Amino acid sequence: MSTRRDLLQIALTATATAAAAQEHHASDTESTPAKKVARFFKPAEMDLLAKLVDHIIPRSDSPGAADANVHYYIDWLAHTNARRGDQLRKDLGWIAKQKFNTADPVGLLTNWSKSTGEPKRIFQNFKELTVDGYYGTREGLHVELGWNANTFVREFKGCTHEEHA
Amino acid sequence: MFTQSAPEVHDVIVIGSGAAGGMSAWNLAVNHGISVLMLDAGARFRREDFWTHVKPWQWRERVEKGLAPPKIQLDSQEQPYISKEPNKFDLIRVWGRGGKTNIWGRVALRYSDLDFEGPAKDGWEIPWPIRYKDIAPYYDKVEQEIGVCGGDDDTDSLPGSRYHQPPPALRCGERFMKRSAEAMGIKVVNQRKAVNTKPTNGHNPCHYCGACGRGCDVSAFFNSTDYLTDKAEKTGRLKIVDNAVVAHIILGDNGLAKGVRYFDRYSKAERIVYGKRIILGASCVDSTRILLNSKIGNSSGVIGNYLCEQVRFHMMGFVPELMGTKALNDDGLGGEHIYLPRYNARDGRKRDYLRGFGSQFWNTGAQAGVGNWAKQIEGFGLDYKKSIKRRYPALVAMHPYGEVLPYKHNKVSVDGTPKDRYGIPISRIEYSIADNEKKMLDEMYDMAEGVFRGMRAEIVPYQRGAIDPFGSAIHEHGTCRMGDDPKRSALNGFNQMHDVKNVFVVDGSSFTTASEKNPTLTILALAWRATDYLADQMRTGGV
Repeated sequence: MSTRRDLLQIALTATATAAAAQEHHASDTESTPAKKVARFFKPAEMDLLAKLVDHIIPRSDSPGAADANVHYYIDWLAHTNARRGDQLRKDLGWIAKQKFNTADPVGLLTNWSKSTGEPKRIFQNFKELTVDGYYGTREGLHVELGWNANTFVREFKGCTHEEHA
Repeated sequence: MFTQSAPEVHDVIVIGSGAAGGMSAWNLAVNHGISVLMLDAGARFRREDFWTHVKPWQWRERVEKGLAPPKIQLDSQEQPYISKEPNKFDLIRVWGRGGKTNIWGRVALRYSDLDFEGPAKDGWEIPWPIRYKDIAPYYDKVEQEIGVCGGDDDTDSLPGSRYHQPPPALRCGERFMKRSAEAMGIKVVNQRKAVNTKPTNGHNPCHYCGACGRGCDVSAFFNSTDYLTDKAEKTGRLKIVDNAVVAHIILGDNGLAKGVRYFDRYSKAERIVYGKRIILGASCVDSTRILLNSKIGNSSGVIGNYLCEQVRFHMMGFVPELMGTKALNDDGLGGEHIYLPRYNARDGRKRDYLRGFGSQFWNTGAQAGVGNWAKQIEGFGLDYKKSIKRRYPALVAMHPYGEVLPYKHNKVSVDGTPKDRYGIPISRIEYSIADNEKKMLDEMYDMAEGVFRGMRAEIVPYQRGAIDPFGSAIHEHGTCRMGDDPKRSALNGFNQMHDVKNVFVVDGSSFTTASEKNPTLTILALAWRATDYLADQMRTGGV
């Protein structure tokens, strides 16, 4: 049973934390990203990368990976780890040689995904980077999947489906 | 090098500020009115600096701007240790106020007599010197002081408590897993977590943002700083020295400890403080290293040996009934709301291994870490994107933990190791598992697969038999174990050294066995009990 002291503290805490939650919400809208600038890859590489990630997770009724700037996320990873960056540049070069920009990109990706060895490694690596990148963005996690958490709630409701009780 | 010594002789010196050191200092200063000097290898972490309410995309933006969250874990480049592949042991350390309680998993399970009586019954290594009745009153006190939510259901392997606060509601996936396990005859209970679900002793209740692992900005879960050391400091009887990296406990001519030698973490200045009693709670491996480098208390030869942790693996899948449903806010407490206690002692069936395992269930539901499983789903393109969205609310996960027996060959040592930046030999960790654990893993996998099959879940591909890297449960125990026999143990049942009566070791190193459980609640209870004993001894002139 709650004491008066408990109830007073609940009220005070709720007020303070609700204010904090509003602040967090405000900061969410304030965080409109600045215009993205590639820091590692050259413009032609960025164009190819954007096309590649958008074929892995395309636009539907929600944004795709390129809409979510996933190619800039990968560029950042390359920028902050030179060894990784060099390998990614090499792999992108291989993809360019397969005429990804002009041939049937879906057909190429399908072949690589079912292959073994280098094509599979390169495909899987870019797929994993795209997945990490996209589902860590507002577009991928919130807009596409509906994640709306890491926020203040006074009561955790859990499963609200009667049929699962 | 000039060594600075303070002439004052302190009543008690506590080494470490985490669960063990924090509880010791708090109990002595607050409940017993005893003056304490605490040596902390780091400094205070500022709650307001935690990135608790930073969404994943905001996190990236901050990092790209050159910002970083508070660095809580100790960098092994600053303080190295030796552990070699293929049996590399991941040692996670936090140097700073509160230690690992800043970011711990908050799982607060009571040991039962199944744990305390296990070694005496099966004969593997030495018996625990205590039983549940000895520690139960301290579990009660700890739970009332720090706030633990959970259930009151008692089982042979996991006692309940009338002091548990109300548990949070279950997520959809947790309901399915509970039902499936119970259909197999395996009981699943509310998880016990040191998270306040109602205001407690001046601490805020949880607001269910799910980001506990980054540190709580309102201090709704137990951490040693907000719950113990701050309160102890307010009495004026606890003084804390920041950035004091302890190297040795110094023995006097009478065979008792008389002080502690430490180095300032940054200036590297060497200092000595004197005290009448020393409490060591620097975490299992660091406390062991201090004792071995001090060459004290080891007539039994057990200090450093019998390092034991837990084997653990992960299994994920998707519940058909939840596929394609609307994603709910599944954050909750951060981590699971249910727990599967050890059950293998109930059915009367003899196993081909000793001891047991339980299971946790974190990451169940619509969580932020999509990459953990989505990379393993085949395909790409629109169909792939749809398949991820469909599976997203349906994710269920199990993480069974099994006990690793105490083996003499699993050890922490300092003989011949390189020296750290202060000139003190670093730790070497040697660790492996044996047939007992491998046999137990078989049943652990059988159980997890059974629970998933019972839900008709689609299981994310896994390699049967695979386990997490050693050390990743962050539950190191056993290297300064307690026992009744001074020839086979370093401490008595009150965490007091057999050889050096004015030294107490109160962290996980004091455990006789690891069990399958998270140790922090038991560390807190043992430290409270040990310091009650110490205070009593001080009153009667015993120590």
